[in-house]
Amino acid sequence: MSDCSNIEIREALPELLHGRLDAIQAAKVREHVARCAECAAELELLERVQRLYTATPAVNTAAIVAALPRQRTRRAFSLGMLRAAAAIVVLLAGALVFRAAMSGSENGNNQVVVTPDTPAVTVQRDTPVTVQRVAQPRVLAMSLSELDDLDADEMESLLSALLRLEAAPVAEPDTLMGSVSGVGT
Amino acid sequence: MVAQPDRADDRDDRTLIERWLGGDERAATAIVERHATAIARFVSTLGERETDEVVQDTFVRAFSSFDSFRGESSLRTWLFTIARRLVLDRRRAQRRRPATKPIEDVELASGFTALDSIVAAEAEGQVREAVERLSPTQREVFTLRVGEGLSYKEIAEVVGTTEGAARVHYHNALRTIKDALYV
Repeated sequence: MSDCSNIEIREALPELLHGRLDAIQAAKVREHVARCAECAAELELLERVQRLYTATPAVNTAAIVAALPRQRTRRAFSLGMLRAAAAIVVLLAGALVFRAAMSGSENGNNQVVVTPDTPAVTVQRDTPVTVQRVAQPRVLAMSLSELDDLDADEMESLLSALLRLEAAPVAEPDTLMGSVSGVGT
Repeated sequence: MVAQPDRADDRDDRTLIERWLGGDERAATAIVERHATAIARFVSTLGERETDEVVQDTFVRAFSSFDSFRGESSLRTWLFTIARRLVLDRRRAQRRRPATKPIEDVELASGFTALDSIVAAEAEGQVREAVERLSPTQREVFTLRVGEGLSYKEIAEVVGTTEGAARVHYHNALRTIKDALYV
């Protein structure tokens, strides 16, 4: 059995067999096969071989599926559990920060004393601060209107106290981390 | 003449994989049903007698690695590659066993005996005998080309060779079969 000299058509025969040619290409190949004895014989041979391969015994797909890893369980653990764990960590961290902010430091550092006239105080994150309402204010007990009455030394002293508090926000106040406002109202 | 890639099937496979990764266990059944028979055919032509076991291991390994499947090749090509590696691993393991007779090419070529009980027609028997005369590599390439309709590029990925080499193996195999049947 000789081979057709049209290698392009011969290369396309297995593709035709498996329906992998588009309509135009398939028509072109079929047209050639219809008038080429070599290609017709070759296509018939390929069809016989294909039938041979098709005769493979059936496989037990149910058994295969049963042996596969359980994706849902694996996913639920890897993502769901991690999400839950992350949520718990965030809640615990938030609770600890809130508790620290409310209880304040025991050594009296960063203690702010306010009066009902004190303007809103914003506390920078990670700075434990105790807010106390007292009858006789000490360091920062003043209203905004009183700032005009301070001389240079008093103003410098006040600024130094504020700097020691590290209470001046460098950006937008974080609403989740220890923002205290309107305590005097 | 360039064959049209089976893009619809590839898209369906990717959709099924995504569904399975999302927790849809039914997608696993669909994937297995789509490809198990083709994998079994390929494995049997490699001379592997424990076809069911290899096919199952192929899918177990594939499903364990779907997270890393990038879809650069078709799922079926990827499965063929896994199955082929498993068969080669089993051959190596058998070679390491002292009591096991070494597997020669001639013995590998007799893998088609699994089809003996199925293929009864004389004409088909002649074709089978002709295919058995092929070298293991020729038979592997010829099976993927004619039996599964893979392109040379896909065959090269599965077998680990070049497209050009796959093309040569195919035409040599075809010539051998023609000579066996018609001379």
